[in-house]
Amino acid sequence: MNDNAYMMTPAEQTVSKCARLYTSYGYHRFLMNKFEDYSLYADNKSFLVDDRLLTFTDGGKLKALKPDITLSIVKNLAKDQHLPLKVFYNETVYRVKKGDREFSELHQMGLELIGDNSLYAVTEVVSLAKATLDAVNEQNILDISHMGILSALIDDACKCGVNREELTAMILQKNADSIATLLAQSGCTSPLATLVASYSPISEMIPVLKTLLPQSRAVCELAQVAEVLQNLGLDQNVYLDFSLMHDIGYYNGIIFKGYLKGVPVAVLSGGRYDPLLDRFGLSAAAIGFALYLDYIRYNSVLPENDVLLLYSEQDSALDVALAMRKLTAQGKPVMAAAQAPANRSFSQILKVQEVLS
Amino acid sequence: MIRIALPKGRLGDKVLAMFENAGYACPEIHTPSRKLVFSTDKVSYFFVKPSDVPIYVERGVADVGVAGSDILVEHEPDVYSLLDLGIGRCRLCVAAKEEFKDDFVSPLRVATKFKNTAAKYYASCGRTIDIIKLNGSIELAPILGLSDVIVDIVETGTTLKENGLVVKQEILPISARLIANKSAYKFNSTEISELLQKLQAQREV
Repeated sequence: MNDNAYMMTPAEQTVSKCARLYTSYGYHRFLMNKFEDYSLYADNKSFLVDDRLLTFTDGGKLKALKPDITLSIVKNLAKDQHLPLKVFYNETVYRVKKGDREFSELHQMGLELIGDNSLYAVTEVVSLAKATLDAVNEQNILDISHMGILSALIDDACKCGVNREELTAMILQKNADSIATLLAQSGCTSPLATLVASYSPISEMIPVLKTLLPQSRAVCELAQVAEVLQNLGLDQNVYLDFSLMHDIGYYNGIIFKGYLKGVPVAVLSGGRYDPLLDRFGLSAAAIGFALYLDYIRYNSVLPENDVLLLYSEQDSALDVALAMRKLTAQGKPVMAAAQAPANRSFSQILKVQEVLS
Repeated sequence: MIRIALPKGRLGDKVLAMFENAGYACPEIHTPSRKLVFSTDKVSYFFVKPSDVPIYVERGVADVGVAGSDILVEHEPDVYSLLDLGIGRCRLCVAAKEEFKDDFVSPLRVATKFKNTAAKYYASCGRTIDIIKLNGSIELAPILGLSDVIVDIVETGTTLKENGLVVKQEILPISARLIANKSAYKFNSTEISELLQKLQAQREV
C-alpha cells in the first residue's frame, strides 16, 4: 500500500489524480463561493438536474446554495476573462438527487473550456473525460452523442406532426420500437429509430452514420473527432449512443456520459453548451464535464499494516513517547493505546518495554 | 449471465413463459422449492413485488426486468424501456359511482395507488384535487364515501361493475415493458440486444 492510499480516501486520490491531469493540460483550479443569487438558478431552471434549491435571504436578497458549478463559472468568469478560459473545480453542490425527496451534499469535480471553437478543443475535452474515467476504474465506457444530429431529426419528425415531448421521452428510454411505431403513424421516414436502437463502438458506427445522414455537418464533426481519438488510440470503449440527449436549450454539439462497471448510474456527464453562453450575452464556444464522485463505489481499503503499541500503568509517559519515536522513525504507522480497539486490526502488537529493550 | 427481475403473480408467469420460449429456459424454476433466485449459466431469474422491479433494475442488481407501464409512469425510474412486450394489457382509468357528476365546486377527492400519475393528470385538466393514497381495495373508497372518484387499473371492468362503479375517463393504456439498467446495458450490450431481438420475435408469434 503506498503512502497516498494510506493517507487519502479513494475519492481524494481520484481528485488528486484528476487535478494533476487537468493541470498538466493547462487548466487552472477555480475556487468558488458556496452560494449565488437565487435569480441565476431561477432563470436557468432547465439547465439544472432538479429545480429545487436551498435558499436563504441575505440583507433582503434571495440567495441559494449552489446546485451547479457551470452556471457560476459562466456568469462570474467567462465575461471578465480573456478567452480561451480553461478551468477545473472540485466543489460541493446542494441538490435533490433524482428520485430522492431530501437535499444531498454532493461532491463534484469537473472542467470547463470556454472560447475555443476548434476541433482540437472538442477532442481535448472528450479525451480528458475518458482519461478521468480511466483514473477511477479501467473498466469504463464513454458514450457519445450529438445534439445537432438529434435536434435535426426531432425537428423533421415534428414537421410530420409527431409530438415532441412524447418522442423525446421515447429517445431517452431507448425505446426504438415505440419510436418506429410513432414515426410510421405520422408517415415520417427517419433513421431516428435505427439510431436510437444502435449501440456500437464509435469507429464502427461512423460509416453507418455517413450512409444514413450523408449531408449532416454534425456527422462530419463526429467523424473528425472519432478519427482523432482513433489515431491517438483513445477510441477503446468509446461508444455512440443516440438515446443520450441533454436539454436542447443549453446544449448544441457533442455530448457525452461516462459509466463504470458495477456502478448503476452515469458517473460523468458533459458536452458542448454554447447556447448557455448565449443566454449570458456571450458569443463563444463552451464545452466541459463533471465527475460525480459520490456515485463511485470503491472497494473497502481499511489499513491493516498498523502497529499497535500497547502500554500499561507501569509504563511512564516518557517511555511510551520514546517507544513511539523509535517505531515511527522506522516509517510504520503506529497507534499507542492502553488496549486494542475492537474494530481495528493490526499487523503487529508490541509492548513498550519490548520496543525499548 | 443476464440477471432478470420478474414481477410476482400472473403477469410474471406469462412473462417467464415468453422468456423461456425465447430461449432463456431455467428448468429449476418449475421445481417446488423455497429458493428466491434461479440460475443457469445464461440467466438468473428472481421474482419480486411488481412495483419493486424498477428499483432492482435502477439500482443495478438486475440487468433487465419486466414492469407494467403504470409503474414506470408513476415512479419515473432512470432506466431504459426497451420494448413493449404486448402482454398484461389494461387501462389506467378514472372510475366513480354511476350517478356521480363532478360539480367543480369543491376539490375532487381522488383515491388511488398512483398518486403522481393522478396528480399530473388532474393538473393537466386544471382540476383541484384532494389525493387519498391507498395501497389496495381502491374500489371501496367511493362506496364508503371516502372519495368521489378512484384512479385505478381496469382490466375487464368486472370488479368495478360488481361494486356499482363505472369508468368515467381513460388516462392511459398499460402494458408490460422490458426495462434495462443503463450501465448494465453498456457493459452487456451484446447479451441484452440478443435478448431484446428474441423477445421481439416472441411478441410477434
